[in-house]
Amino acid sequence: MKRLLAAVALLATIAIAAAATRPFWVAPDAAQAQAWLQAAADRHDARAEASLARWSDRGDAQARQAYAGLLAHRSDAASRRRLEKVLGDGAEAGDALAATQLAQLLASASVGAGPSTGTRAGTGTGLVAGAGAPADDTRIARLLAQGNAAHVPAAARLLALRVLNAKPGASDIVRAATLMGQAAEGGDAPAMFLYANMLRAGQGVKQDEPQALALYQAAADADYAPAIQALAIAYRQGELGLPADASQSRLMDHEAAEALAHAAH
Amino acid sequence: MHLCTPATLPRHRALVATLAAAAILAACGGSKDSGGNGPAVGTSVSLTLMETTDLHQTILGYDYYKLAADPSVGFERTSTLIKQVRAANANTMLFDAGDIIQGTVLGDYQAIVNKVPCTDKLAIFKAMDSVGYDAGTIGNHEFNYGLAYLGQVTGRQFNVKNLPAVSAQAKCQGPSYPQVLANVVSTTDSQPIFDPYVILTRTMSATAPDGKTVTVPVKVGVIGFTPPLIMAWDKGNLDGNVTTNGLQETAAKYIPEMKAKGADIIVAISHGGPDGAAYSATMENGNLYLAQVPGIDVLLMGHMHQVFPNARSTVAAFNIAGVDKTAGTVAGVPAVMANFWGKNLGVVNLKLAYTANGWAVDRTATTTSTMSTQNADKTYVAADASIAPLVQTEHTGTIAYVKTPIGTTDYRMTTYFADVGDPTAIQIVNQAQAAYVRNYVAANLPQYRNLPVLSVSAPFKSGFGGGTDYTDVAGGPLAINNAADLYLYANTIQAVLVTGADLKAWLEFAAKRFNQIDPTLTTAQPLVSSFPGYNFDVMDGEGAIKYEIDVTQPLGSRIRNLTWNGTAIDPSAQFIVATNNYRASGGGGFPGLDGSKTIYQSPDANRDVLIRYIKAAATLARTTNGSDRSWHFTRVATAGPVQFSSAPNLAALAASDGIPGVTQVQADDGSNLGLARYQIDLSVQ
Repeated sequence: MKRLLAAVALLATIAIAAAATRPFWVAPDAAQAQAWLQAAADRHDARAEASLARWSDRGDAQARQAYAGLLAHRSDAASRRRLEKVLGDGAEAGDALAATQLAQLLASASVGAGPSTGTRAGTGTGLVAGAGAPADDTRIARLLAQGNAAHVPAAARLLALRVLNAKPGASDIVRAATLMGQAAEGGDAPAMFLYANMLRAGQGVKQDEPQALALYQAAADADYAPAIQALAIAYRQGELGLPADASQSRLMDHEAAEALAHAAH
Repeated sequence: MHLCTPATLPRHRALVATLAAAAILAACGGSKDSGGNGPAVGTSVSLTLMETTDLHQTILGYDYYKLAADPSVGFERTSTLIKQVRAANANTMLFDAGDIIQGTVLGDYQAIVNKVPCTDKLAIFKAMDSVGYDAGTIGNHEFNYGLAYLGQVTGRQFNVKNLPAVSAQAKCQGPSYPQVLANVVSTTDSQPIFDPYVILTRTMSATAPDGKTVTVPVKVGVIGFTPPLIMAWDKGNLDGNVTTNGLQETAAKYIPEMKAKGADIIVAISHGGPDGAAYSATMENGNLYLAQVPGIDVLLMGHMHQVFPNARSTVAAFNIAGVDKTAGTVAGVPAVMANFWGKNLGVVNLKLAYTANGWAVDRTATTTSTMSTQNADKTYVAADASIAPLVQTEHTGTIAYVKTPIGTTDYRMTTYFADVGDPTAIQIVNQAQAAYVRNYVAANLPQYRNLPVLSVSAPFKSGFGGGTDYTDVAGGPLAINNAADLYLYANTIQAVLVTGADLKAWLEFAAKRFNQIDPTLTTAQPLVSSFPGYNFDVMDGEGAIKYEIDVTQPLGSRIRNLTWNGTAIDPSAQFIVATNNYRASGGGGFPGLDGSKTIYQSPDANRDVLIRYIKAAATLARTTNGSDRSWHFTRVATAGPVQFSSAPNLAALAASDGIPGVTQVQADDGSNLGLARYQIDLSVQ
């Protein structure tokens, strides 16, 4: 009976999603319906947002991501609180990605406000915080541990940064590099870039320019602008074993501009 | 939709056109198999399809920022390749996969600066039409300038909410070839804003079963797609006016319809690439799933600015299950991607065989490849001389625009002596960045309103490429290309929140630019290390930030007397620093800069912010914009000379820029790069 109710609820939500956006027949699956609901809610369709919120509240991880993505795009305090609650509930329910996102949210609240970077692939957890309450450092550490235990790559990156930016004397560069390497291995584009920097400088890890180049290229493939910019510079200067090639540098610079334009949305 | 008009014929092939006319008449009025007059079973056709993509208004091999030729790019050389292919093959068709109208200064010039009139064709379409295209699709960047402009330059009248009624819209000059796009739909009438597909009937040279050469009609269905993510990327232009549909659902809807209308083969032009992630109707690169829709014979890709096939490619999207980067297939469908800016031409050689069920593609005889405008010896193919005259007016207009004064400067702005403290080309960048961030903070980040906004910038051009590889903007009028000289890269502004301790660590890292100087040595010592100039961040900004670099000290201990407004900086004090996205994200490996300190990610490019600042200032004066020595070397008498390289015969410039004690000791430093050797007297700094 419970399963039947869930199915009915799912179908009803899909129907609402379809009605709010486009013909029903093109809704291929629940994830797509959620994406459409997110898009509709982003256009201030209250009914769509309410549906997405309900779906998220029922514990559906995909819906939670869609709803969190929606909230992260907003700058008002209520949305920020709601985002924290949604991610907190997710973390409590064992959602390691939500835990990681919440950690990032809380950590960045201690730095300041920033617009969302959107939810494009290759940008880590896809969430950047707005201003909020002072961070609970213990809570952040616990959330990141939860994320890292579940091998969320961004959690390893954020842990690496915590180690790197620890108070003088408490910093463990080798551990930071190890964590960053894990995050890069897991496909986290910012981590690929940062780990490439470490490999290039021999920071906490044996210097390895070819591997650094490969990681820059992998992060660039994921449309991560700083990595493309690193390649633009490397081509201009003939670094990392690349031939000095002003034309190729210019092309990479154009690519970087395009990636930045995409990331701004 | 089903274009049964002579206008769909390739205009450049008069001989074929005559034959095709009859075939079109037959196709428009007749059935698919043309009854007893159709080809004999076993008749075969070799058909070569060509693709350009991501031309981005790159017509001539020219760099508008450098105001210099650049043969590595430009449609004028792609055209040469196209003509080579046509000369070598009896049956050819040419398609474009989108991102045509935007991407160079020429694109902006025609869209914004000196808008192309309704009665005139966009420059890139003049060039493309002169070569003759059969069809093309629309890329995501076509939407950058808004739907009104897109409608104008493509000769369309869109039935969308933010435009006047179709009947009230002028019908403007578009390209002569049909542009198809199936997955962008108007919210007004739920119809695609472009024709979703076209069916082109072409008369082709064929080989009959008896070996004789005959001519046969072949109907080529062409359908187009663009990344659904345009709804996010161009939200301001598109939201409420159009929606996008997924590639797979859209293809599944239209391809049976195209088949029913008689298409013998289906060419899908999709401005995107493959992606191994699970299918979504909003995914950016959905071609792996599009190719799985039954009926698609050829896939022409774009958007990723890559070459496909390419056996050596390390691009992740080409190394996933279902994509054969060597054979050039996606989900088994022959596919190409022709790089960008006209650097390559995609080529698909198809073998069609006429069967009892109509034309069929023999995939075992299909090959895909790309041709490069660059020869094996690194030279480039000759430009097609017929292209440049077509766009001469637009080209010269763009050059004039790039040279248009945006302000004036009463001093020469250079980086020849940036390594020894010359601020003439750096201070203005820091001023523009700091002012921009200050405005943002004041309006949007009240919690930081009372913090000082500093700024860093580096001499991007500092002699790596020799004596000409320096920023050098003459006194007098300043133009857009000068701004590109002052700010080389396409970075965007970011602001970070740091402490006084962070500032010192930042500057200590930048001071790696210098070798450690032993003042007791009587032999010459090189001042500048291998640490690159583009990482030599110079700090400036609001208030008076001052510091010394003591090059006699080891790394990490060189920054002395770091003060702000005359007071030593408290390590725990907070500052905002305006910089660029690369540095704020960790570029250069500066300590503590890893993305975690960013408080503002601006969408605006540093270079554009600089241009706006110069426009607002109108006149730059050395006293205001080019003389603030935020740093200098700590005074020290050295027993021997301390030397560095720069362009020759400029010691007087150093003096006039306020850098004392600089003399040229050799007009040639021996590097063979057009650099001279200078020395600096550190005791007078």
